[in-house]
Amino acid sequence: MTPNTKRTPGGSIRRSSSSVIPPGVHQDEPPCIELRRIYRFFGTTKAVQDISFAIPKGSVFGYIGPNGAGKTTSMRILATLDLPSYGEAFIDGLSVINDPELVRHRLGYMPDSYGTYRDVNCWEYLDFYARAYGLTGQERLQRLRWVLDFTGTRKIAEKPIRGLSKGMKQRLCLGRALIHDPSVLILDEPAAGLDPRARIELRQMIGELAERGKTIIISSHILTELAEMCDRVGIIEQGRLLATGTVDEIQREWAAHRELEIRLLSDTGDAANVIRGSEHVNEVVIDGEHLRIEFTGDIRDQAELVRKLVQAGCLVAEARAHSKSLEDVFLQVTEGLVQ
Amino acid sequence: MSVTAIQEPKDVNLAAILGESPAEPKWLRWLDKVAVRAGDAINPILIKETRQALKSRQFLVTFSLLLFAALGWTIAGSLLLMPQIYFLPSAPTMLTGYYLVLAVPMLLVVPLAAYRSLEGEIDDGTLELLSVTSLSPRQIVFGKLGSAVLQMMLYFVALFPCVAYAYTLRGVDIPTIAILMGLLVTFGLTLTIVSIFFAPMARVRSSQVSTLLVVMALLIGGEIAAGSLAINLIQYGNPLTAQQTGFLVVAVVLFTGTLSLVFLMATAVQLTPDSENRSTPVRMSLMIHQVAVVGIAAYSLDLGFDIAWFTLLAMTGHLVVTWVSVGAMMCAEAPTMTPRIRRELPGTFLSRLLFIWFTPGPATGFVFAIVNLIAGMLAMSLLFDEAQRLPDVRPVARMVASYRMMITLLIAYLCIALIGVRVIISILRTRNTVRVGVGMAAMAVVLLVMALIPYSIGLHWNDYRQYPYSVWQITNWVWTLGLAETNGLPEEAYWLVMALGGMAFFGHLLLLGRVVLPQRLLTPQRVLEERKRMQKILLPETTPIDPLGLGTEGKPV
Repeated sequence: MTPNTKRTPGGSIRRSSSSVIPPGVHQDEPPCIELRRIYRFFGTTKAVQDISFAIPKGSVFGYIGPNGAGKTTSMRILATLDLPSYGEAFIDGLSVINDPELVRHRLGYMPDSYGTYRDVNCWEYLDFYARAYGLTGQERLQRLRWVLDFTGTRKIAEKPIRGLSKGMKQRLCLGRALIHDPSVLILDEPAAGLDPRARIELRQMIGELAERGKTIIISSHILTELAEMCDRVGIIEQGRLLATGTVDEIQREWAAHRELEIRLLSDTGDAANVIRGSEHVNEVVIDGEHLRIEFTGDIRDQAELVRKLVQAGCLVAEARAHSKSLEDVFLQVTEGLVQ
Repeated sequence: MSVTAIQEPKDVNLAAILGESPAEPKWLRWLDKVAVRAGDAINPILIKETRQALKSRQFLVTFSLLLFAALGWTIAGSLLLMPQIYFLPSAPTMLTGYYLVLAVPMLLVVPLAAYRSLEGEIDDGTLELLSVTSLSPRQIVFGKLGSAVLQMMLYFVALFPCVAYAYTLRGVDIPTIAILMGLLVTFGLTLTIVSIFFAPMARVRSSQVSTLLVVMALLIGGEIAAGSLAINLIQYGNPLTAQQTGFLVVAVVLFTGTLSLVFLMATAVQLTPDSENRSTPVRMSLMIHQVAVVGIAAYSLDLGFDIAWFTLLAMTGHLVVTWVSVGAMMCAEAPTMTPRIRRELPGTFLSRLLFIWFTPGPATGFVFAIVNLIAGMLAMSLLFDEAQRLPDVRPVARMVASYRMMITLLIAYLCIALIGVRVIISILRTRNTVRVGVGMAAMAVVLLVMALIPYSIGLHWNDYRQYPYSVWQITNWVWTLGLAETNGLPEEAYWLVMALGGMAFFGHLLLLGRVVLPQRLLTPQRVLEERKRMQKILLPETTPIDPLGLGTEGKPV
C-alpha cells in the first residue's frame, strides 16, 4: 500500500488529498487521463458539452450523474469507441482520436452491458480476449491464471457464461478488462444491478487495483456508491460537468447550509432571543427543549455560537450539527434534468 | 483463491490447459508447444467462432440433419433405383439428391449463420469490446469468413463418402464432380461474403429486419441459381470444351475472388472508426477488381469471337455499373481529413500527384471513379478492336462505333451526375451524419431528375403527345443513350453532352486545390516510439522449438 493511502473497513482505499491534482494546477507528471473541452453532438442533442478534467496516475475518479447525463458518451470517447465533435482526449499523453491503437493497449474497458457470448465458457471467453490483445504462449497462460485468481472465477472457469449470476458475470467482465494488464481502467456502472455483497466485493477488487497503481475512472448514478472508493469525483448533468473534487470538497462546497440542533436545560425562548440575528444564523425554530437553527457558518462559527449561549447563562446540554447527506448534495448539485 | 481448488477432479482440464498438471512425457509437451504456437498464429476470431459454432445448437441440428438426410437418401435412393442400379448408370439421380442435401447448409445455413454472427456482435455490444482490442476490423471479418469456411469443410467432408458412393454407380465423371463441388464452394463463399457485408449495415431493429429479408432473398436466389446450374451439370454433363472450361474456371475464380475482396474490404470499412482511413483499402481492391475484369475480357479473345463478344459486353456493363455506384458512394464520403489520415498523405510532389486519389474524401473519390471508368473503358475499347480482328468475326463494326459513343456519353453523364450527388450530400451534411449508402440514393434521385424533368416539360409543351428529340433533352440520359445506340443522335447533342461532362470534370479538378493542398502531418516522435514498442509486444521474437533437447546452438544440453 502506498504511504498516503489507508484502507477503510469496507475494503476500499482512501488517499490523502495531496495525491489529487485539481484542474489547472501545474503538475510535474502529466495526467494519466485528460479530457480537454470535449463536446459531442448527436444531431441537435448535446450529449457532452465542454467537459475538461485531468486524472493523475494511480487515482480513482468517480464519474457521477443521473441517467442520460453524458457519462457513457464521455467514457466511450476515452475508450476510443466514439469521436468527439470538438475537443481532445488523452491517455498517457497519447491522443485517443489520432492514436487509438496505442491507447487501446493501455486501457481496459468495461461497458454497462456484459458483452458475453453464447456457447462459450468463462475460460474460453478470457482466453479469446487474451488472444485478441496479442498475448501468446506462456504470457497468455500467466495472465489467465492471474485474472482467474484475482476475480475469483477459477472455480467457474469451465462453466458456460449463460448460467452465471450477475455478480459472477461482472467479475468475468472485469477479468476481461484486466486480461492485458492495462494501466487505465474505464468502468461504466460496474455495480449496477449487483447485490450488496457483490458490490462490496467489487469495491474491494477496485481498491486492490488502485493499490497496484491502476488509474481508474468509474461511473455510477449513485454518489454514495462511489464515495468510499474514489479519490475524486465529477458530477455531470445534461452533458456538463457541474462539480469536481474530493467528496469532502464537494460536500463542503455544496452543503454550506447546515442544521444545528441545541438541547437546552434552561428556557429555550430566551436562548432563541440570544442567538436570533447573530451572524450565520438564518432561522431559529423552538422544538420543545431543542433549538433548531439553520446555520451557514463553519465549525468555528458553530463553537462561537455555543459560547454565546453559555455566556448568556443558557444551560447547553447538547449541541449537534447535521451535515447534508451525499444524496442531498447530489440532489442539490443536479436538477434531475435528462436530455 | 486457493491453488488447491484446481486439484479437484472437475478442474483437471483447466489445470492441464493452464500448464499446472503433473509432468507429462517429453514428446507430449513438445506436441503441446507446437499446438500452442500454431494456435497463437491463428486469427483469434476464428478460434472463438469455431469453439462457439461447434458447441452451438444450430451446428448440432444442421450437422445431424445433414447426416440423417444423406443416410436417408442413400437408402431411399438406392431402393428406388433397384434393380436398375446394378445395370444402368445411376450416379446422376443419387448425386442430385446429395447435392440438394449439401446445398442447404452450404448455401443457406452457413451464410446466414455468418450474417447472424456479425450482426449479433453489433447487437450484443461485443463488437465494441473487440474494437478496443488489438484486432483490426479486417481480422474480425476474415475470422468470421474463416469460421464459415471451416463449417463448410466439415459439411463437405461429412458428405464426401456419399459422393464417392454415387461416383461408383457410374454416369458422372470425376471432372464433372470436381466442377460441381467447385460451383458449390464458389457459391457458398460468395454468398457468405455478401451476407457478412450486409450485417453491419443496419444498426437499428427495423432496418435489421429489412436487411435480413434482403439477405434471405439473395441466399434463396443464390440457392436456386446454383441448384439449376448444378442439376443441369449432373444430368447433362459439362457441355463446354476443355479450353472453355479452363477459361470459365479462371474467369470465375478471378471475378468472384476480386469482387469478394471488394466486399470484404467494404465490410471491414463499416467496422472501422471514422477517424481512420476507411477509403484507401476499398479503392485499392476496386482497382484490383478492374484489372481482373480487363484480364478476363482479354483472356476471352482466345476462345473465339462469340465468347469474346459476350464477355466484352458483360464486363463493360459490369464496370459501368460498378463505377457509377461506387462513384456515388465515394462522393458521399466525409470531407474532413483527420490528423490521423493527414499523417498518411503522400509526401513528395510526384507521389502526391499519383496517390492523392487514394486518400479518402468526396473530391478525390469523384476523380478516382471517373479516371478508373475512363481507364477501364479505354482498355475495353482496345479489346473490342482486337475482337474485330478475330478470324470468326461477325459484322459488328457499326455496333462497336455506337457502343463507343454510348460509353463516352455515359462517362460525361456520370461527371454531371456526380456533381449533383456532391451538391445533395453537402446540403444533407449540414444537419445530419451522412453514410456512404446515401450517395446511392442521391445518385438515383439525380438520374431520375435528369431524365424525367426535361421529358415531362417537353411532354407538357407538346400537349402530351409524342415529340422529337432536341437539344433541350440533353440531360435526359435515357433518351440520349437510346438514340446513340441506334446511331440516331444529332451530332451537336453529342458534343454538347461531352462539353458539359468535360466542364463538370475539369471544373471539379480546378476546385480540388483546397483538397489536395493539405500537407502531410509529421507523426509525433512519441507515437513512432510507441508503435515500435507495440510491434515488439505483438510480434515477439519466437524461441525455436527444440524437440530433441539440442539447445539453441545445436549442442546437446
